[in-house]
Formats: sequence, C-alpha cells, structure tokens
Amino acid sequence: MDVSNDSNGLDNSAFENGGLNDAEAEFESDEEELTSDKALQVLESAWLNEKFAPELLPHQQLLVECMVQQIKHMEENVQRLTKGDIRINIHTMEICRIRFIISSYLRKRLDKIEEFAVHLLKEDARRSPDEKYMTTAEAQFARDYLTNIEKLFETVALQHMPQRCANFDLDAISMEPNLKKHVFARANKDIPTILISGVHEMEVSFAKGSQHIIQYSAIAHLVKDGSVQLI
Amino acid sequence: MEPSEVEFLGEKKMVSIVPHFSSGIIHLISGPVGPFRANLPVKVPIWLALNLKQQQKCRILAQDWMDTENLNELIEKEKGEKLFTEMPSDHFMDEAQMLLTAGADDIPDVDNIRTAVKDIWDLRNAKLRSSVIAFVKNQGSTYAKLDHLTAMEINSIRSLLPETLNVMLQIEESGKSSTSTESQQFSSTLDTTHSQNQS
Amino acid sequence: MSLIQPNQYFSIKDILVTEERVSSEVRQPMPNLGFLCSSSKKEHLDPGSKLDIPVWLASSLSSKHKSIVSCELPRFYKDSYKEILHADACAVELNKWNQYFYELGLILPPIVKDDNQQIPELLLEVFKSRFRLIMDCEQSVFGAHSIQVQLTALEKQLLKQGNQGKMLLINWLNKGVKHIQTSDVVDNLRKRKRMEV
Repeated sequence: MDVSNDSNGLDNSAFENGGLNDAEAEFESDEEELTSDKALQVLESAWLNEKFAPELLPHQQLLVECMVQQIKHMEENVQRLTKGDIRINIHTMEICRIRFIISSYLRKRLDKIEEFAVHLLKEDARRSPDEKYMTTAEAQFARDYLTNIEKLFETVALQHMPQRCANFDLDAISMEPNLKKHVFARANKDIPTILISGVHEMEVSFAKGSQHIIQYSAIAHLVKDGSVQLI
Repeated sequence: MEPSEVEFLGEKKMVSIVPHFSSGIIHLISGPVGPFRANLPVKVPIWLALNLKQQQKCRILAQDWMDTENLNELIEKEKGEKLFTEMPSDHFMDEAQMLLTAGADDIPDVDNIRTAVKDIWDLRNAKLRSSVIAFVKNQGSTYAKLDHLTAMEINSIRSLLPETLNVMLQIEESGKSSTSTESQQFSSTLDTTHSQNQS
Repeated sequence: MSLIQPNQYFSIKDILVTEERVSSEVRQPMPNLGFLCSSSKKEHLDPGSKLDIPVWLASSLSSKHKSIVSCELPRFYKDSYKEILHADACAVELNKWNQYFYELGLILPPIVKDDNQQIPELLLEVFKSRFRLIMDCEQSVFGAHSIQVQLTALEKQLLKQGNQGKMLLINWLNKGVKHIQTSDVVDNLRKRKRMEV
C-alpha cells in the first residue's frame, strides 16, 4: 500500500510541515519551523509548568491558538471520512486528549489569576505589550473579577458598616505568590550553577535529565527560558 | 496532580501491538503512526494501543522489560542498593498497570509479571518513605536530588513533602529575620551533603 | 493558600491564631481604660498593671518604636517547657499546649521583647522531630487516631493533604473496583441545601 496515497478523503497536507495554518504561520515567523507534534510538546510542557509553578507564567496565546486551529482542521477532516473508517475513532480520541490539556492549562491560569488578580494587574501594567504575562482576555477577566469582588463586598457587608470602615482596599486583599514554594523539576540540559538564596545559601548544578526538589525562586528564570521542566 | 494525570502522561509512551487490520500511515497531530499491516507488529502510543484493544482491533505485546527474569533481577538490585536504582521506564508503574490490565489475555506470564512489578513498587515505596523521613530529620537545606524516581513515585510524595519543606523554610527564614546571630546548634547542620540524602 | 504564610487577608486561621492571649504589663498610663483590668476598680490603667490581652491587640500596642505594654512569652515557649520538647517532642500532646503552636511562635518574636531569640529554632526542631508522627499516621490507616489527636492544626493539615494524595493513589492502584463518587462540591452543595430546608 502506498502510504502517501491516502485517498480516503483525509487531507494530510494540513498536518505536514508545509501546510501550517494561519495561527501557526504567525508563530513561525519568530521561531523556527514548528510542526504540529512539536507544538503539542511545547503546549504540554507549558501545561505542566503552569500546573506546578506557584506564579503565573507568561502566556502562550499563539501556541494555544495554533493548537485550537489544528483541532478544528482535524475535526473538519474527520467529518469527511466515511462512516466506519478506523481513523475516525483514533483522531477523535487524540482531539479529546489535546482538548483536555488545553482546558486544564487555561483553567489553571484562571485559578491563579483569581488568586493574584491585584498583583498580576499591577505587574503587567509595568510590562511592555509584548512582555505581559496575561493575554488581553485574561487581563479583562482579572479586572472583571475584582470589580465583582468589590461589588460583592459592598452589597454584603460594606454598605452596612460605619463610614470610616466602609472603604474597599484592594491592596489589603492583594496576595502575592509564594515563590519559595518547593517544586519538582527536571533539567532539559546541563546547568552548571543554580544559586539557592536565603537561609541555606548554596550552589547546585543540574545534569541534563536529572530530577530535583528545589525552591521555585531558584529556578524560576530557567523554567521560563525552557532549560528546566517542572514535573 | 492526580494519579490518572500521571497515567495520561505515561500513555504517550510507545508500545508494540499486532494489529488485526491494515491501514496506511495515520497522520495524528502528535505525529504519524503506522502503516498498519494485519499481523505485523508496529509501535504506537499506549493510549492508541488501549483504544484499539478495546475495539478488539489489535493484540498488545509486552514491553521488553516485562519479563519475570528481568524483573526479578531488578528486585535483587533494588534490595542491594541503598539508593534508588534506575527503572526501565520513568512511567514504570503506570505503564505496567495499564498494559498488564488491558493486555492481560495477550501477555504471557502476566500474573507473575504483575507480582514482580508490585514487589518492586513496594520495595521502592518503603525506601522512599524512609528517605523522606531521613531527609526532613537531618535536613540542612530544603534541596534534594531525586534521580531515578519515576513519575508516579514523585507524584506520591507531592501531597506531603513540598509543603513540609515550605513550612520548614518559612520557620527558618522567620528566625533569620528576627535575629541577626544565627544559633550555633543549627548552623552546624548546614551541610550540603545532607542534600544528597534522596538521590 | 500556603499553610503557614502569615498575613493572608482571607485566612480565618490568621484571625484564630491572633486570638491567643498573652500576659502583659502596662508601661504607660492609659486614661479611662481601667475597665480593661477586671481586678481593679480604678478609672485609669496605671503603669505596672498586669493584664491579659489578645495577640492582635498586643501587636499594635508594643511596636518597636513605642511600647505601651510589654508582653510576656506564653509559658509553653519558656525554658521548662522547652526541656520537655527537647526530651521527646513526639510524646507531647502539643495541640493541648496550643492548637497553633507553630503559627503563634512565628508571630510572637517582634511583640515579645526579651528572651525570644530561640523560638524559631525551637519550632524547627520540634517540627522536624514530630514529622515522623505525621508519616506514621499516614502509613497506618487504622489505629492512628491516638496520634492524630495530639497533632496541632498545622500538622493535621499536612496529614490531611498527605492522606488525600494517598487515597487517590490507592484508588488508582485498585482501579476497576472503585465506584464513581460524588465530588466534594456536589456533596457540600447537598449539605447546604439540607441546612436551608
């Protein structure tokens, strides 16, 4: 059977390196060529990092859009397959797996945004548009969340308080992530020196593939640049 | 993280199957699989193998390491070493659990393999427990190397160890900020060799 | 939310911790506050009067710059109790001394002036030696009750987290025999509805 001659109605070109869609093409411009399997790997590692990092990590909007686009294309292609084709089941299952990663990733981010809303908005206000950690939609969510919280406080309690206690102080409820939390990490490459500051100041080194438990603050920059994966 | 999520990650590992059908290469988002020829072994991700098995479209082959002789050697090695030995897969337990359950009627000697896997898991679990206790007790820093621990093992200490270390660090730092002179008693334990406790 | 990190706005535990009373001595005259000291009938509080005040009040009355009162360390951080802890911290029913032994110990040093340099060291030592209790409790599902009742709030919380993780793992290992359970959220909702009825 000629593998390239897959004529059962599934348009393979969309899934090969050449046939990237719009969102991905945009992504490609500043990165080297990104195949769909590579994009999925990056998304998965972003998901795990977000899951375990105490702070909100820089958003991956392009990546998410790219994967959503991929899923859409795939769903359209699956529609065109004839009933009973073994591939329908397989592709659908893969789509479900990727959907799970994307929604778990986005939900984890929303959890953190709710928890640290005041802090995150303040931080992002200082960053240039390209370097913001939250997407436009996430920032809007954070602002709406705070407005709603304020309204809730006002309705439930503050309006019944004496005037001088009735102020809503955003800074008072502001929480910052505890960056000294301990996380599990695996090194993606050799890292000769990592400085752990604080009471037990010490220097450690990570060999490629080695696993560690360490306070997040010592490796935060390495998680963001991809040298270390949280596990 | 839930054990089922660790399993989800483990499902990406490859396994050999013998398909009962033929098909060309299937272009998944995660990369191509196949081509499939009836009765010719082919490697696929575990999630796909389980899916096909469920539809009775394939037979699952055991991983190379799923063999009692090999596993018994691993048991002896694990018993002999103070530190953790390297496992054939970093998703050792979940791979075994999934494949031995789904492929129970395909894999020869499945009961003995299952017992051996469970023995290794129990051995390592006991080791893990005592090294966690020793690490916390002798702790000079809150850093440790965790080489050769598999994904499910790391996840099994996630609910207790990191938070315990957070508490210890918090207590120590409060001591540091309220006093300028460090206690002699505790500075003597400031020894980086303790950090190797868990490796 | 972090287990021990202080000053979290929504933390009810923070409020409970600071309810603990400490004995203090008044340093400066406090006009018209005589009623605070139940044993005296005077109108004003004079320097030298002793009274028990909650930690949240003590912390604002005894700042570094002006100390209106001076506070004493609760007895269970003092030397005689320390010796008991040094001997065998695991044998102590620490929760009876104070439910928030660790949390309170962390916020007291700036409030209590003298002889408090050793508190964090003490807390760490106690925590480290008692960690074994938590591990033991986690290990044995049955018969751990006697240990469990002597854990402080922090230790109990850690144990709870550990147990949750362990149950998930056990359920996963026994997969196939487990039944689908209602999630906590649904459960709580049901309880709430029942209360409303």
